Amino acid sequence: MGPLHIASTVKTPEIVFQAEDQRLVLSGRSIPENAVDFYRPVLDWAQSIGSDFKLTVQVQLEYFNTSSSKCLLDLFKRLEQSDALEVQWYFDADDEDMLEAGEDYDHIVNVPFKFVEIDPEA
Amino acid sequence: MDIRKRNDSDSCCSMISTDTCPVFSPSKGRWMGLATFDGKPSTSNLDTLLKHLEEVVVQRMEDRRVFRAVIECVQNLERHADPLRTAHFKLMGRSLNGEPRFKIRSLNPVQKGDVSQVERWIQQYTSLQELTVASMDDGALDWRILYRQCLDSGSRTPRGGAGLGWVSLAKAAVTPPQIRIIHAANGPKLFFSVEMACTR
Repeated sequence: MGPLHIASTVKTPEIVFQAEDQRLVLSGRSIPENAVDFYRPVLDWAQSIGSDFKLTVQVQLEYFNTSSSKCLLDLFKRLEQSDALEVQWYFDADDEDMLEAGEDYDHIVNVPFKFVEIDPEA
Repeated sequence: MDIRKRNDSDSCCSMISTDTCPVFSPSKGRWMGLATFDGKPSTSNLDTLLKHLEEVVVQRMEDRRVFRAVIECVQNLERHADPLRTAHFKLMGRSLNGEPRFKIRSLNPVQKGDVSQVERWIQQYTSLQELTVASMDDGALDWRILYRQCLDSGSRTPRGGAGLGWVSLAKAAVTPPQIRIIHAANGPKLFFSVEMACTR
């Protein structure tokens, strides 16, 4: 599994694969005009994952546009091939829309989702 | 580019608000202009607009649902507007029975070559809406089901979700968004209007 690190910008998230604990973390906001171009290296990276690879995907996004939402679905679908995959979907306790977005992916893809509530006061 | 914040008398004010009052006060339920944009829908102009709107909506209202709608609407200007002609965008607010409401409205010239594609998406959106309404026992539209269908469909464009943005707006809106092509004398324009309630 190769390294992956994309630095954040004001419109795109930081995406990093932490090899030591086999964790792919997406954090920040994802509102690029061209999400397909932005996520292409991530999807290419995901293509190389073997079916026996254990991976945790942590999604800690504040905002994402609909163009990004399609790309996130592509990512989850590519990772479905991994038998030992879990998506940890973070959402602020007062952000029901973000929780709902995670539930929508959970409904569509065959990947276990764990919902992690963040206390905004913490 | 012209970004204006308007006061109660709707006269032109400074670009960025400096007062510490709520974005809009209980004002007999009338819509008040909060920000207006008239300019070329370039990336730099729309980035400036989005930054300004984030300040108006999020930093002062702490409401992510409305700002998510704002993001989609502003980015739709870049996706669907003729880059050489002026696009119009307006954010309005009002207090309805003590609850804040926002209205986002845009009118932008569409490139003639894009009109048929946009009309197809509007037709698709309308058809899906009608089909979903017909399928519900109580006649109510479950936008979430429709959203999931659109999200999982293979349809997409390089820069957009092929209509998914409109459905996501409809899912979160008070009433379904109004979308239509206006065939004006000086060229086709896309009219869009959506009303949002805050999540809290």
